[in-house]
Amino acid sequence: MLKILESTDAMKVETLVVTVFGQPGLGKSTLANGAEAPLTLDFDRGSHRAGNRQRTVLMDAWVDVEELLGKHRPLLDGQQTLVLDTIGRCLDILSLDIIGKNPKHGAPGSGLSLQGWGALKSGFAAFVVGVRALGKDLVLVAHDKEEKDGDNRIIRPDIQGGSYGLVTQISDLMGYLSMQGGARTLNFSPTDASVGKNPCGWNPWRVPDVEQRPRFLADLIAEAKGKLSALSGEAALLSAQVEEWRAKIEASIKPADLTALLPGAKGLVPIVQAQVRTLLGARVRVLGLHFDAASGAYGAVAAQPAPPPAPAVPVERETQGGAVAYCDHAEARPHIARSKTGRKIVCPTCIMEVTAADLRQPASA
Amino acid sequence: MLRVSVTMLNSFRLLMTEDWMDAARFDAEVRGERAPTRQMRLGSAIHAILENPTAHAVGDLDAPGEYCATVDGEEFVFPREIIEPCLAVVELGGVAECKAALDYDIDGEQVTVVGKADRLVGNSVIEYKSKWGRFDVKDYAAALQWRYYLRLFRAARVRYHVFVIAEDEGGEDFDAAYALRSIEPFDFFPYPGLAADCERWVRAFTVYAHAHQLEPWLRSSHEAEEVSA
Repeated sequence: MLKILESTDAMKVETLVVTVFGQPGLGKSTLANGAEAPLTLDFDRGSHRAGNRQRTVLMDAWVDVEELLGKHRPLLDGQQTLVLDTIGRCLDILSLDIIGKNPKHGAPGSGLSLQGWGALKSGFAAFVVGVRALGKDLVLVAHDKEEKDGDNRIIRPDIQGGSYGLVTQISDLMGYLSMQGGARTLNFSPTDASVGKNPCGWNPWRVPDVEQRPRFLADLIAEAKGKLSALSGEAALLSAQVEEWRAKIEASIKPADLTALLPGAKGLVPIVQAQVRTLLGARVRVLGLHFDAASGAYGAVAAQPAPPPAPAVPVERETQGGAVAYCDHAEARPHIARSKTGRKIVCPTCIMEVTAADLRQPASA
Repeated sequence: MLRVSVTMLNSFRLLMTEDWMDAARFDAEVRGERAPTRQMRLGSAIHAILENPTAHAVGDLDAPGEYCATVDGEEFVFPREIIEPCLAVVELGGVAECKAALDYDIDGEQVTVVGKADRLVGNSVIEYKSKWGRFDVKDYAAALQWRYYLRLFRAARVRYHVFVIAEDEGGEDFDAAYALRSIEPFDFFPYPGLAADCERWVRAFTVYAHAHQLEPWLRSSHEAEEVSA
């Protein structure tokens, strides 16, 4: 059955993609093993070095991944998290598969072509969608790499070319594991020195010993799901609040109606207040009002002398059948558009507010 | 009292971090002496179309063949193959073109940062960007725009939709001047230290503005345009 959510409905976050990157030997794989019921897809053949080792599948080729999600899917029963260790090597293996299937996508010695990069991106995105559809979390383990960013140096996950962007985009959380003051520290915040993604607003975590807290990453992911679901709930509440204000503002006709709304608008949270202010401004323009700062109230704009009548400029619009119809929105600034079929002049007022039936044939055109 | 836009602070970061941006160019930007580049005008054209597609549709209103917008006297025509996938990701809820301002006290001087978001939905800021050529999420991650928007609107998230467009070389897919390569969505969130990062850049900018005697342009309505009512 289709699950349709309105913009004002909260959405429960059920799966997450978490990227953990850092120097070799700091315990990235051990950290990943602390996720909820993990199954490690070992692309680097390094899982034997990890502490707290859990179920592991050795991956030699992309077909192993396809089979795991296909005919061997029962192996995933009871596993909540798939750990790709490392994501860099995983993408190398996917690249080889792409090149092997289509020579236009690159050559083994020279790497992916432009088309091949596109195929890598779409292939990996499809994999992530597939895993999420199974209700599983993904933990992407990556080595780190120092890169020039303008005049600065910044540490990022070591992931080839354009796929770094993809990993950044799909990751809900991205944390940098490093040694700080002699302690292993996991920082999700972006800093001048390293990238990160921190929707939970966490301070840097001191990573506990695996013996003391073997489910550290599972706890973080559970907390993140709760916080992201709460954010979605908050978003729904705020959206509903804005819609209520929209209705009140659109129902206001007199200056006093809008003035009466002002005290309530002052107490709104900034992001709702910004929306309400924009809606009020639009309504004020529609009603032709102004705000008097001295009295703190809206009032009617003093009547201006009527401008001289504009010359009646017929504005033409090509209809579907190719005939030309005319409107007389002389005040409208004609919008000139050129298509391959020739020159047309389109009246934006007509397009927005009247249908073709309202257009009239020119009396003396 | 100074007034500075988020766009200007973003350019200031480029001055501080990128070799290609120099002080003469940045100062000219602040003084409003630099005309928008063609790519900026293209971006403005797409933005105008996405904001009000009906007003820019050419041909049959139910199935427009093209969309056209004029920016600074130049007419840009885009085929529906570019515009319609972009329209499909444009959020319909919330409120478009919302403005906000945030005051900083920089050593006793009030500096107001002003910004205008493409759209606010719930607790999120939504931004639409057009990108010509190669897309790299790193360019956006390093930028200041999302950081200030998180602060100005006290938002929980800034979501970007980047429309990656290239001038079409072969016309393989359709006979048009431009081709949509991809649409890239990604999010940024507040983090501990965000407020301090934002204040640090305002402070650095203020020192620079005084040293380069840019105050007259930061007090005028020109600079405040982004949030003018």
